[in-house]
Amino acid sequence: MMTKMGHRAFMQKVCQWGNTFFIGSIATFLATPQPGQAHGVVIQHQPVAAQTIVAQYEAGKPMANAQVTVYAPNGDSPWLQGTTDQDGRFLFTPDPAQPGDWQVRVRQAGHGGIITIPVQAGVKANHAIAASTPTSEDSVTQGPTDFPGTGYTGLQKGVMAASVVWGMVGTASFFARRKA
Amino acid sequence: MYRKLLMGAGAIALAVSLNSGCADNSPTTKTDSPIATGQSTEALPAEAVGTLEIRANGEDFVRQGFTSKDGWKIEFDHVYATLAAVTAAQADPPYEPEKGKELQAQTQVSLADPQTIDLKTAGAETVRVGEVKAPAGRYNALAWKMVKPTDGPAKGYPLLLQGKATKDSQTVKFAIKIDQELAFSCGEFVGDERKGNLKPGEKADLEATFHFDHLFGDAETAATDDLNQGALGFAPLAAIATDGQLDADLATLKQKLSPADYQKLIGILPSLGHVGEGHCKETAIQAGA
Repeated sequence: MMTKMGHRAFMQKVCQWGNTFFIGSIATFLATPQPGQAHGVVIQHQPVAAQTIVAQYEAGKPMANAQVTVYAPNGDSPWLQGTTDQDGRFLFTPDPAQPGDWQVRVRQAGHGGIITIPVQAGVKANHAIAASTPTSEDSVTQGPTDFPGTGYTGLQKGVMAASVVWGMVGTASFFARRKA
Repeated sequence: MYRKLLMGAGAIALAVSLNSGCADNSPTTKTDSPIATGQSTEALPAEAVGTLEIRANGEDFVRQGFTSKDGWKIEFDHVYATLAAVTAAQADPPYEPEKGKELQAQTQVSLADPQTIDLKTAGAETVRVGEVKAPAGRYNALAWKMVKPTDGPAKGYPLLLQGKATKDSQTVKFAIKIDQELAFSCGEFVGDERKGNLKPGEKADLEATFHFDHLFGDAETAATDDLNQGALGFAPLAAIATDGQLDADLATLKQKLSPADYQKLIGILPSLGHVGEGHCKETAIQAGA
């Protein structure tokens, strides 16, 4: 009897802890700023390997408002399209998950050219470089970013997942106590 | 009960771990062609070979006619070009002729014989020059020579323009015979679509493009545009016609045109060859051929 009562008391404690963690995890989740929330603002920065293209005619005149098409390595379909600015410049960021020879085609009024930009795996440059003169000095090596695009670190993700799991365990234990 | 709980917790943990692994950080690798320059396609398995077709294009300027920068409406009857040593290459690094570096072909294929083609061929936007079996890969360079044919309607002239030009009440029938041999080396085709990506068992094409607006100018382009500033136009040619006829090779043109106009004409010839809108390097005139 004492053993049975002790088990019940233990289960009640487990349920209380579980529910506390479950509610706590929900509260933590709701309290964490969410991307796209009406009043929340999240501003982050991340270095990327931006490439600046400068397109000119041979006489030095900028190819202003020229059509630009970017091709990923071995791609026949455009990866990105746009136009140059008044100075013939165009900025884009290659997908670092697609290393290899990226190509940029610039066309205007029946004239055009294509340039090849080698992009190495795992190498990111933190400032723009001229496409015609890429050098290793313009690049810095960085490790992969945790959960890219979500705004949460791995630790935050782990705590949230553990809280949800523990909360569900507690809830299930609560209903299991009634049947016992 | 506990077993169910453990299974549920495990499933959730698995879902969380799968979700966190959704971002694809796996890199792709560049595959270099193992085929050495000059290797015969006969030594390759059939599944590694495709068909590469070479075509030539005189653009709408040749097919439909156009108005020169000085107001002459030009219509062509024939534009004969004789292409030889037509060579397509997989260049690595990609060949950029304007930078003056040598074309480094990892793989290349060539058409066997010179071909005289008429860029004015009725009903065709581009004209077939020839085709060749070639190792699969991206052909990002094209080179060709323009030589004097030994027979046919353009015998002796790598480039022959025949047609008429009209302005107001004047009409000039012309046969402009360019007996200067030329050679062009070009990088990747630049146009509405990409060309030259040959897949095993399939067909791809490359295009030698000729820009005759560089010679005559284009009334639809601003007079101040570099194209028109550098073009000869047709007026200097009309001025040396006799009884509405101009039949002239380069020796005749050198004799009748002003030195400035003749030098302008000679200076334009290296800019006629393109790959779509991509520029080429001319080497025959530079070499004194």
